[in-house]
Parts: sequence; C-alpha cells; structure tokens
Amino acid sequence: MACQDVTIQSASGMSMVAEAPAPIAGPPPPLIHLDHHGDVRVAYVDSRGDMCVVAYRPSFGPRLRRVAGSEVLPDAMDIDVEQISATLYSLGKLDELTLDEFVEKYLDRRDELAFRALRGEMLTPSEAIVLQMLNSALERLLPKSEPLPAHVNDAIMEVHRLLGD
Amino acid sequence: MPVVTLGPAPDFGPAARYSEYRSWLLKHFFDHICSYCLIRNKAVQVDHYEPKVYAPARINDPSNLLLGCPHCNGRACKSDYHPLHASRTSRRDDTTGFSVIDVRVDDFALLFEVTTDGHIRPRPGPNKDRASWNIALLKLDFMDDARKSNIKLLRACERAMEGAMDDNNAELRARCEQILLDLIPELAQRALFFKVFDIRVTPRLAARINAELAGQSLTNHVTAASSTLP
Repeated sequence: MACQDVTIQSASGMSMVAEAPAPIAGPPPPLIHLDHHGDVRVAYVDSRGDMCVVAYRPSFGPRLRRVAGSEVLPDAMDIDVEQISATLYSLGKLDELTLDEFVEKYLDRRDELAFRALRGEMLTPSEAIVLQMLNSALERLLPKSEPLPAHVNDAIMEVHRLLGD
Repeated sequence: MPVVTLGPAPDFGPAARYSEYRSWLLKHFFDHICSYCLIRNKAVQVDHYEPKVYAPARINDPSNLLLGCPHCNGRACKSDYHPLHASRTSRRDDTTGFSVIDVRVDDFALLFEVTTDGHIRPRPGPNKDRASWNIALLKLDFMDDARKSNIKLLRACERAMEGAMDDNNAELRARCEQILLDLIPELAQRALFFKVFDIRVTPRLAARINAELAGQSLTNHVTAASSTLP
C-alpha cells in the first residue's frame, strides 16, 4: 500500500494533516470528514479526475453518494477507505474521554504509533490518522505548561520594537 | 556528559521523609525546573525515579528523587513506569527495554535536538530509538510551545545585549540595559534548559546569567559558548 498525506476534518471544522510520506505523483489527497452523527465522509478525486464523496456508517454498511462525475468506488485510491472510516468512527467519541479513560483505552496504542513515527518508521495512512486523532484528543487532556509571565512577554516585545526586528 | 550533578544530599537522619529533600532538589534544579522536560513549572513534585510501587525501600532514598512536573509525572507519561525494567502496572506489553531518561546520568544533547521553534526530535545516531521512545513516553513532543518560549526569551536577551553594546546611542543602550535587568533573572531560572539541551548562549550573555545564578546561590552554571544559538 503506498502512502499519502491525508487531511482530516473533524466535526468542529478543525482540519489536520496526518504526517505520512508524500506521494510521488497522483490525485490530490482525500479529505476525510467526521460529521456530528459519527458518519465518515471521504471526498476524493477518482481515477478519471471526477470529484466523489463516500459516506460511510459502519453499522449500516458503506453507501455511495454522487457529488459530481462518476460513481466509481474508490478503487484507484491507495488507502483503505473502510479501514480508515471504521477507525475514525470508533474514535469519534474521543471528545467525551477523561484522561484516565484515555490512558486505559488508547495510551498504549498512541505511544506505540508515536514511537514508530518518531524513529522514522513509515506508518500506513490509517495508522497516521489514528495517531493524529489520538494526539489531538490527548493534547486536550494533558496538563498545560505555564506560559511566560506577561511582563516577560512585554519586555521581549519591547526588545524587538527597540531594535527594529 | 550529563550536565546535572546533584552533589551530596543533606543528612536529615535515618527517619527522613522524601518530602524533606524538596528544597535540596529545588536548589539543584534551578527552582522549579522539571527533570524530564526541563520546563519551568511552579507545580513540580518530588518524583521517585524508581516508582514507589516497585521500589518501596527507596521511597526516602535521596538518590531516587528528582523533580517532575505534573505533565511528565502524570498518568499519561512517566507515572509509575519503571525506568530501569521497562515495566508498568498499566503497560505490560512494552518490550523495548529502553530506560527513562535521567538528567543525572544521560547527556540529553546526545539524545535530542531542539529546533529554534521548540520542536524536539531524536538525534540521529545510536541513541535514536531510545530518544524516540522517551519522546513518545513522556509526550515531550506536546511541549513545543514551552520550549519555543524559552528560546524566544533567550534570543530577546541576546538582542538586548547587542543593543546595550551599541556605543552610538546612549538612550537605546540604557533602555536595553534596563530590559536586561528585568529579563536576566527570568532567563537564569530557565538556564538549566539551555544547558541540558546544549542550546548555545553568547559568552557575554552567559557571563551575565552565571553572575545572576551565583547571586542566587544556585548550582549548575550555564556554559559559555563560542557560538550563538544555532
């Protein structure tokens, strides 16, 4: 399976780009959107250059909705849409997690994927998405670092102003 | 070479509890610097490098004590992970065998690179996998903003120092010197971060930081470098 960057858009509208090796050539990366019903929508450009959208709810089975052009399933795509969709669906409830629940359910998986990515191992697109989703959820749960005190920030800005930076 | 030397622990007697060593640790860690991420945090806690659950005999052993911030010492990070035996009550599948970084033993500059925008990454080489594993375990990659702030502070001090040396503009010089008086104590409190990650400080500024640290009786001086921040 070749890898490509995948843009994820959450129900809140925030977009993230999973860090995966860039494709050498080919269609633009698919846009994966997790809506507020937990449905996954994958927008992609098919092999004929037409824009398509797949809406997928794991419990009902996949269904295809034409937006423009062909109704061809994404057979030309390099990613496993169903696998990604199912993963996104299962992770759709991450917003409701507490830190303890995250640790119990997802910490091992996150750390394993993060370790592999950091050491330079190539993650599959779906693994990269899972890591991105887990990191996004974890970031909100971790204690925050203290920012620089306000008077320090003011002094730093004053330096830049004085010296024309 | 590790850059932190704690020196002999104070003798509080055989019945001393670990909390009594807090002030000793605070002095050696520049007053509230976390031993793992090296970010200043007023809420640092006394951390048992070997967790209490695994090493009950070392609960009050000062050689087992470090300072940890709530982030690094929290459930999602080091928590009760055994730093030497790669075991953890909630994480039994990890068979990598890597040990948790120890600022008293490890040279962080051989393990990690910190970019000017605060991003941390494993340094290529024989330690890369262990460094990657520690970044993943301790979630060091979630602290880019804090590292970036520290570097921003350092660079501003370097710029102010340059401005203070400008002989042609006495007013600018005086203003820069005034700002340095405000910023250097803040920079000194974060000096261990720069030292441990080998972020270079200009010699003139390093001398000022060290003078500030000496005035506060803090150990672990910043090493003056011949080059500026990379």
